[in-house]
Amino acid sequence: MRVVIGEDSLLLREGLARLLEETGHEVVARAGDAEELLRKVGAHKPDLAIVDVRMPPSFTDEGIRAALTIRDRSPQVAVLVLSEHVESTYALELFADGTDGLGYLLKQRVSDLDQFADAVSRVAGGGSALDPEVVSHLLGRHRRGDPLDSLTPREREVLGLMAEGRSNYAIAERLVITERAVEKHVTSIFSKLDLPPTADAHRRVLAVLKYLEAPAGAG
Amino acid sequence: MAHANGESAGLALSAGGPRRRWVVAGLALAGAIGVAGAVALVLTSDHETDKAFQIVAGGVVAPSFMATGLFAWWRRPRNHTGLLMYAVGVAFLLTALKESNAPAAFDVGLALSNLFVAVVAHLLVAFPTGRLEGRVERRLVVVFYVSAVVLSVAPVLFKRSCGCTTPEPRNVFLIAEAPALATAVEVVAAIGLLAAAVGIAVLLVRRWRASSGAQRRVIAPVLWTGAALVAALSLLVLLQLTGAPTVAQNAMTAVSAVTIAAVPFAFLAGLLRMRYTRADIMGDLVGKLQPTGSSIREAIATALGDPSLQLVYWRAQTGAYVTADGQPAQLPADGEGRAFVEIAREGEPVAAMIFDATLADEPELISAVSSAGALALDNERLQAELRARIAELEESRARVLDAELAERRRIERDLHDGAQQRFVSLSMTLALLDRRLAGAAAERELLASAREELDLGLAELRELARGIHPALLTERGLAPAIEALAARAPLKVRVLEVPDGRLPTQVETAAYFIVSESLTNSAKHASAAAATVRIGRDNGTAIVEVRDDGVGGADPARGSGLRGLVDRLAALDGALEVDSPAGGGTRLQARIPCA
Repeated sequence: MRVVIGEDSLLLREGLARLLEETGHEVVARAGDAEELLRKVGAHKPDLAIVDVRMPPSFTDEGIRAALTIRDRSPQVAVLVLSEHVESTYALELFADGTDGLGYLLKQRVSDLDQFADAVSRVAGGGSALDPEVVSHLLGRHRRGDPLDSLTPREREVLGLMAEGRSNYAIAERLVITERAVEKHVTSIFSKLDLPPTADAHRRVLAVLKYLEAPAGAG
Repeated sequence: MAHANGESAGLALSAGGPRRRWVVAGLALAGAIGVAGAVALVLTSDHETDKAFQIVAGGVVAPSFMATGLFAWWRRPRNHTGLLMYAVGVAFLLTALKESNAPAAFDVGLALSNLFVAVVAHLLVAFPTGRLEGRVERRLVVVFYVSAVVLSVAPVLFKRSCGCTTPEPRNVFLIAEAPALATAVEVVAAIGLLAAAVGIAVLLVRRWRASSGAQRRVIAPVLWTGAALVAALSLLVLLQLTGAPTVAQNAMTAVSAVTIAAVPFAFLAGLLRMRYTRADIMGDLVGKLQPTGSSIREAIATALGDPSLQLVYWRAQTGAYVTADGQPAQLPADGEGRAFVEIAREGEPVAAMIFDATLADEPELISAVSSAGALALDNERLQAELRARIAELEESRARVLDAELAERRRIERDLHDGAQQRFVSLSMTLALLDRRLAGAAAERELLASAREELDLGLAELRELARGIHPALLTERGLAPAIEALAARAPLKVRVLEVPDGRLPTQVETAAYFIVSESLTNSAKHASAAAATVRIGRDNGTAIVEVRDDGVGGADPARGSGLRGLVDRLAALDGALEVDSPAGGGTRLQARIPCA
């Protein structure tokens, strides 16, 4: 896979590049700030852009904005946003208009090569990847008379994995249950949360996130 | 014991140097010569019918103006009133030229016969400072001068005969015999004169109304005699102009002469009253300076008749003056229309009085008021010093808080750019090492445990950075930061309300750490299972409320966490209220002003 890296820290940029090359990817360009990243993505048309959130000049959320710009300008380029620490606020901003071909992960997840490879292939395949920490924070928000409380523990697990962007197959494998059982859980969850049923795995991630994003107290 | 320190105050308290003494003596001599000359002119006049009256007028009125004027100038060198008085005398003497038998001198005397009326008007408007302060004042006086002079110059230029004496010296300044033109000019000038006189009268009435009781007592004799004089002289000029019967004219002349003679004595009366009222003023002031008295500034301002009076207090610590509120103060520079006097007590500076520059002509009064006020002012100074210290403490506390916030942000950034990146990089390298160790099961197991430790370490480092300063709070504000805090809390937290917009940074930071610390306490010490957070705004105050269902018994006096919150809130003029009955849960409410 052809990859462009946007990361201002030389140490991490080179570490990431080495790791990607060692796992069979081709790093076609490296950028130290958002502007350079957008230019190189435009020039190289890679399969994937890996983007750090905090970059010059303001070191706040340049990466989020760059990711959205890339998705807007070059829809065929998947974007994986990495951050030293993840916040659900940024995740929701990133996924506000759609989750396809977008990922948001803690930087250190890269070191789990299998998980990282899984996230990369999901995002590059037009799916999504959301860090488990963000998902657990979103599920951890409490609302008065929260319908989430009516979910069984297993259903909560399935909801979390769905929110991370995993397919029914991946969820079944992870929980060591049949895909049929996963489908049953999903139907039950959507009915309990009063969400319209959808078979499309991509669309349902967005539905789940919109549901979890709803302001506290509104549910 | 107490004294007014006049030398350093930019205020001349001395009665003048030796050079001015010569000037005064010279002017007195010139005046005497002038008077003698005028008397000689009257005695030798071939056309004056009432020589006795003229000698009394020239020999009494002019010298008394000149003498009182020189006396006043001698006592109050910065006040021009004395010089104007002297000028009235000089202008009066000039009218004696009419007595001369020489045609040219006679004509000049005729032409300048109204000048002294204008100088008297000038004196009245300029009283008590001797200066024309405003534009209106200057214009009125100029109109009066021009009208008065034109009125008497016009007939000299355009009428062969004045018809006022027999025999009449020949008119040497006649340009052309044009009685109609002369009358026209005279009428215009008379209207101007009358208008200016009315204007001056209005001005004096207004000034009278604006004066305090003490000021009125001083200016009353001068103002009223002067006003009567201007009125009488204007009337006389009108009578002459309209050709009124000689009886009426003579009667008016007599009235004017009496009034003229009264003016310098009125001025002397004013001077005397000034001393008299000073005694009154001091009695009043001392009464008001009793501990029960209201504002010392009010008391002194009333005593000096200067509502603009300011008091500033000496701060020995900084060697500078501050206002009663403790704010830094400046003493006025020259030419600002303000003067000041420094007041000391037992050799130590206490305060400075800043007043209208015209009061600088009353050095004895200023000095007496300063002395009477020194003790009371010393008390006020101590209070001003306290207020100044409080203001400084508040400022430095706010600076410390700002510095602390900046430092927290810096540490968070340093962690992000330094340690965190190195550990993430290390984690990546270990991942590659793991890949290359394929087959070496024992080594991989060891490595796996190292990587697990590293992951935990990184998670702890993230929490530490967030605890020092959450980047989310800076970048996105209170609502997302509180939501994130609630989601990560080790107990069930419901966020009921958080303002959407941004609040001042220090308020946001304080609110965030109050919630953070409270939730930590709820979970750790109160064994609470659930908590609610509400941050609202009420009339410029942010209200942060955290409730839990724990065991209660929280006390902000103990436990460094709550103690630190109390200090942080105090620096923002906020307050913390903790309601935590044993077994009844804890309700913590912080109020932070945020304008």
